[in-house]
Amino acid sequence: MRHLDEGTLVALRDGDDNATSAEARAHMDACAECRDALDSARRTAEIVANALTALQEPVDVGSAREAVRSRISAAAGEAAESPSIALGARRARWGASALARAAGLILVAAVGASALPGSPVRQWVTSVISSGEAPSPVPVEAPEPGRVEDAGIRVAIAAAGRVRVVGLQPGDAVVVEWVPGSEVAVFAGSGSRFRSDANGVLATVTGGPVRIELPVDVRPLALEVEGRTWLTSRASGVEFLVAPEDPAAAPLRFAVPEGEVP
Amino acid sequence: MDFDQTFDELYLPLVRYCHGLTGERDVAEDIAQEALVRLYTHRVEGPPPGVKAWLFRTATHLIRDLHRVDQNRRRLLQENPVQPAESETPDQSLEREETRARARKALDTLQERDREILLLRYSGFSYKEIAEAVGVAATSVGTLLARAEGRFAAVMADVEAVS
Repeated sequence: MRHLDEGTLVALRDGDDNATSAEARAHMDACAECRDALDSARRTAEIVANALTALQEPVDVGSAREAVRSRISAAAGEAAESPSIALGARRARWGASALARAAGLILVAAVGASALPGSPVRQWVTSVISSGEAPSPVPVEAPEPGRVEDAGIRVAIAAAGRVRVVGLQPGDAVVVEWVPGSEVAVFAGSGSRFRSDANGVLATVTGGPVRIELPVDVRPLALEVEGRTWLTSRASGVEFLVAPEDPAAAPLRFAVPEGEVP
Repeated sequence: MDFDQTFDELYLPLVRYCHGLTGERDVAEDIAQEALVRLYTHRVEGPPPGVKAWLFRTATHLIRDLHRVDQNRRRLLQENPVQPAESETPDQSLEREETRARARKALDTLQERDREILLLRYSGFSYKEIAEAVGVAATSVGTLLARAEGRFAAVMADVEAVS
């Protein structure tokens, strides 16, 4: 087999099982050159992630929340008369052509320009996107059956917690992300079932991949997969009993080891 | 759908995504707020991942529409100069500022589609979701992402070498 292409390498790096084959994973295990390329792709991802993090600026969330709430309230009467959008239902596309929509926006912009003395950009933008002439959002497509995150749970847990996941197969991907707060979340494919109490979550999934959010503020905390503890988080730190691909990476990526499932 | 919970979980990631695409924080906040308003006024319902995908897709299209009238916007800017943005907080380091400038430059050199793919991926979207949002084949996302990352990192390195 030839060396893996760059697209397959980054898909392997990102744990996107839909984009990688067993053959590609087997090649990776056997090919030192491709493993070096994978390491390089990881370094590139780290550069990109750090740079994008540096772009983040403080945001006044409180004011934004009130602004959005106020606008929703003002539009409540109008919204009550409009049909709801159920995610998963295929919807009709825009009736007007993209060209007509763009022309409509330009017209709105021109009117806005003449009406705004001093015309700060923000006011102009707000006038455009708040206008009734602005286009509706794109239709919501039906989600793929069995795709990761078709089902999930998010619950607040008490001072100590445990997240249990069963139903996985060897090789299935588990992605774990540390999040602020005290909420645990587990997302998996369609048909997965979840139970929760004050101390944690039991997820009976239909297979991988599974994405788990673990709260940094809740300790002690344990993640158990197929009856085995994979990691624990205590005041003294995080201990891995099953090694992630990269303990320093965020999010952490695991694969269910061979022989893990009874 | 609980407003506060949805807002707490999605507003900041959405602003950061829009900021990455537009380079203007005020515009990014306006777009993010508009998408959230539409989420409720259109009474969008569904599981959290579906709601998140809908919001980001809506914001992407709003930004694309703004870009379509960019010429008008540029004309307005020339006719009505904008006041300088708020100064950064004092404790932000020079190194962070330089990194931010380099990152902005690197993003600006990417084509629109590559920029969207990169930012969606680093907002936590799966390849399948990126394919649906951007309108490319799912099998192409890895290759497009790898090239976008490569260009981004190369520009970062070039700028670092020059500075």
